[in-house]
Amino acid sequence: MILTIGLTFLGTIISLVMVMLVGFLIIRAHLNKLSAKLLSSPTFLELVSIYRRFRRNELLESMLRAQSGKALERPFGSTHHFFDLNRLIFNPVFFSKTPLEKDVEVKTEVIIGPCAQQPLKLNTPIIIGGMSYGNSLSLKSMLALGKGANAAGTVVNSGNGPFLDELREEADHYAIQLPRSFWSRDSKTLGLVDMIEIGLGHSAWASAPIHIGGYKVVPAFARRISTIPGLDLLIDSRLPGVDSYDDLKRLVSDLKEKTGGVPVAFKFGASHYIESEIEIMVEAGADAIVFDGITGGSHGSPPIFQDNFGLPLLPGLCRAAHYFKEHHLKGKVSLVVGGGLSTPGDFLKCLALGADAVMIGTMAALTIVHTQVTKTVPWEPPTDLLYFDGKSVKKYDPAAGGKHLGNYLQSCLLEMQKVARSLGKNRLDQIDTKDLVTLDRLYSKITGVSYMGDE
Amino acid sequence: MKPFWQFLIALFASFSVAGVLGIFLQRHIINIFTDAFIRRLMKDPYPENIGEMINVFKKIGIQNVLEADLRGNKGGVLERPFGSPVHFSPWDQLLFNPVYLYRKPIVQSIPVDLNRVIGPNARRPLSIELPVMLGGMAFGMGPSFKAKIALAKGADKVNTAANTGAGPFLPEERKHTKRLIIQYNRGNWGKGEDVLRQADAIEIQLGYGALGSAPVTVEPEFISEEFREYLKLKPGEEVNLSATLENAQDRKSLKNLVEYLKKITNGVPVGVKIGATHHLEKELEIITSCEPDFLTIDGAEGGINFGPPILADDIGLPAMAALCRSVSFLKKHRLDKKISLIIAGGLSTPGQFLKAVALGADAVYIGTVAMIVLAHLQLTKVIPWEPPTELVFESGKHKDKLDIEEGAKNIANFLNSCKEEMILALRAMGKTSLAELSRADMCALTEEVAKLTGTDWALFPPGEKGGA
Repeated sequence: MILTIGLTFLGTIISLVMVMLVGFLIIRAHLNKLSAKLLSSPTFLELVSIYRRFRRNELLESMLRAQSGKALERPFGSTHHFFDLNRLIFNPVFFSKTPLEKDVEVKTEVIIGPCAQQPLKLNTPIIIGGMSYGNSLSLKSMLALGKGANAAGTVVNSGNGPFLDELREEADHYAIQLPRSFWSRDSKTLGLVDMIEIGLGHSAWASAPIHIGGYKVVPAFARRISTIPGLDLLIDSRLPGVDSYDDLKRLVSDLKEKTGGVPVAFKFGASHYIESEIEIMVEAGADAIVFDGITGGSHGSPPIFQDNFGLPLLPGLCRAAHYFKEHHLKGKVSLVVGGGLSTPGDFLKCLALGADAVMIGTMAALTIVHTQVTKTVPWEPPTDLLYFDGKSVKKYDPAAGGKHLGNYLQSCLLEMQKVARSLGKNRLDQIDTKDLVTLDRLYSKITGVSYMGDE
Repeated sequence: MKPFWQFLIALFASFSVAGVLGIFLQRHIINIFTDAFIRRLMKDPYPENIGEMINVFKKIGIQNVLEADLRGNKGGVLERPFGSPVHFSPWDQLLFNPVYLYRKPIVQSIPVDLNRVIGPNARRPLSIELPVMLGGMAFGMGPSFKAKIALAKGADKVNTAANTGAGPFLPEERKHTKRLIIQYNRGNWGKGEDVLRQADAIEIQLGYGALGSAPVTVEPEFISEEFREYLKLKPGEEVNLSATLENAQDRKSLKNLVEYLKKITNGVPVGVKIGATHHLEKELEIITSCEPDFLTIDGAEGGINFGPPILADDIGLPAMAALCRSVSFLKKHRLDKKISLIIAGGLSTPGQFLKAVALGADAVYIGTVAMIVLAHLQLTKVIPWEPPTELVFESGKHKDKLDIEEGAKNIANFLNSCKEEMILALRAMGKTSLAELSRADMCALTEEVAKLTGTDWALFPPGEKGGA
């Protein structure tokens, strides 16, 4: 018996090894043949040529268009890279000024809308940009954003979506957007918020009308905006009832009154008319100006906007900051910018160039997923955990998500403080263009920061 | 125990042992292979190191290496499909200017249209419902019969025009579209008055962006039987497009031709198509003096069924530069209201179409992207063993597998999707029609593009420094 077992055992092992060897040889032979065929085949060459003829994802997106016949909705925003903040570098000090020791506190506080009756005081100059419940995120994701914002002492934003009572209970600072539609307009809601943004648009959609199909308006969502489930929603291109600049002024003072004097901000996407737009907003009584550059993200918007509309963040920010300086708005009206920002270096550079605070969207959404990504991949994308209509929403843990966002913000803040120490500045808001140098002349022209080749 | 059970136990045991060993040793085994590879990569002297391919590819470019191989294989003129992969025109560097409060964006309830008229001065102008038309693609030399019908049907569904290209006239194509542009080609077919009278517009074809004015020869081996019948050729005869049109050798004869075509068609728009060139103004001076109703300028990025890479990559003028110079020329001679301008050459996204219109084009042609969209999911019928051209080209082995209805639907879907996005874009700019759109609605990211296109430079407020 032992002999039988032994022989079979040995036989199987030997045959396994043989199979592996033969398999290896076959694969190798085929690989050679395959690569030889590939290199000499017009098929491969033709595909290379076609692929190279199109830019980036044009080929894929043409196919998606051919499939649907509708305006495409691409998630996360443009894949172009317009003007890179990496072309700016900070200038550490050694003797010209004294760097700060570890025990010197670097202040990170910021006040949004300093002239408002109830200014918004934040511990960190990084705010969570508008992301909406219903159309994109689930309640759990919104709560995670709120928890994360609390941990870092910053504000969370409703986006185009409705006001959420649960999030109000959770978040210390809750900003809502006044959409170009019918919800979030009653005095009761407005009395509960810490800041209000008049949502004129954002870079990924510009000011185009946004149509939300009725199939997305499920009862849970419809209840919060007091509408009938299944009815299409329209976020039009203009604010309803605002046809003149006087109407706009009236709207701002009305909002100030109903909210008890919280900061009223205007939210839009940077454009070539940025100075004129800001002039109109300030005239109307804005406490803060909030905009994102062309690389701003979205839950889904037509590529024509993401790739071809507006201004990149860098020239947008610099032109706005220049306008603020010329019209002495610094310290009266807050300037908040965003659009594709993701590292503490980016944040600090924006602050140095004149922003009072920066906003993050895509990055915040990614950090609240963090390790929970394992709950969906590889069969579903991580966003499936976050989206309102995601299949894996049940598996999502908002407490963990909130903690991870808090950690991310904390980590960014600590790194920014380290840089401030090396620059010899004990407040983040004291860092300015003199603390930077640029690597090429064009950037020097855009930002007013001196070029590395000059003294 | 029966031997059978013993056998099974032993089998199970040996598989488990092998499996467990494999699991325990996997890191080790992978490590051995990786190390061996890295050692070879780092130690082998250059002539026998696989890493030298990096250098070759980087220096010459993967495509050039592969094309050199193909040249080495055959020795004849290389025929690359679809034109140049080089991106000459910096469309990415132009951005549209949305408005929020500065001007009013257009609300959903106000209709926005993309209607255009080609040849407004012609007795029977051609009107289309979006500024995108299907460019000339010749049956036989490029697309197959089925592909041509699908293209025509697709264009018709969205009320835009299809173009016969330099191929023979297909009565079936005529039947399936309300707007057909017939090319007056440099060959000797499809020029009978009975054919020309069926046109909704006629394009006198003098060249391509991807071929310039070079003569085109199609060898008999690439001529299908069906194509040969349409051209009434004898077996073994080749197809020739000569460098010039026999009856339009100079200003006077071109003028006569234009007049003749206008007359026999009872006044459909008659246009002239050339490949863009640095001699553009001189060419346009001659062409416009012949009073055509429209001009078609094919940029250097223009696609082609098959053509030698040297013509595709190294000849002509990029579409953006050609467009801007043509527009200035027409404006300077006060012809911009009389002569419509069609631009072609590598355009494939609604953003690019709209930018071309904002710069002054009345419409654009698409070619390559239409062929790709036409194949769409039907691609799976040939991929991965054959390229998609086998499905849609006349020379393709699988051209019979193309489903016309589905192809037409995909073309219409693509055009509709582009139309919807362009309408949204106009709304965000506060415009209700294409006529209101101009270069003032864009800014350029670089000084060079700002100067080329006459738009503002994005770094400065409108009208200040750097602007034109």
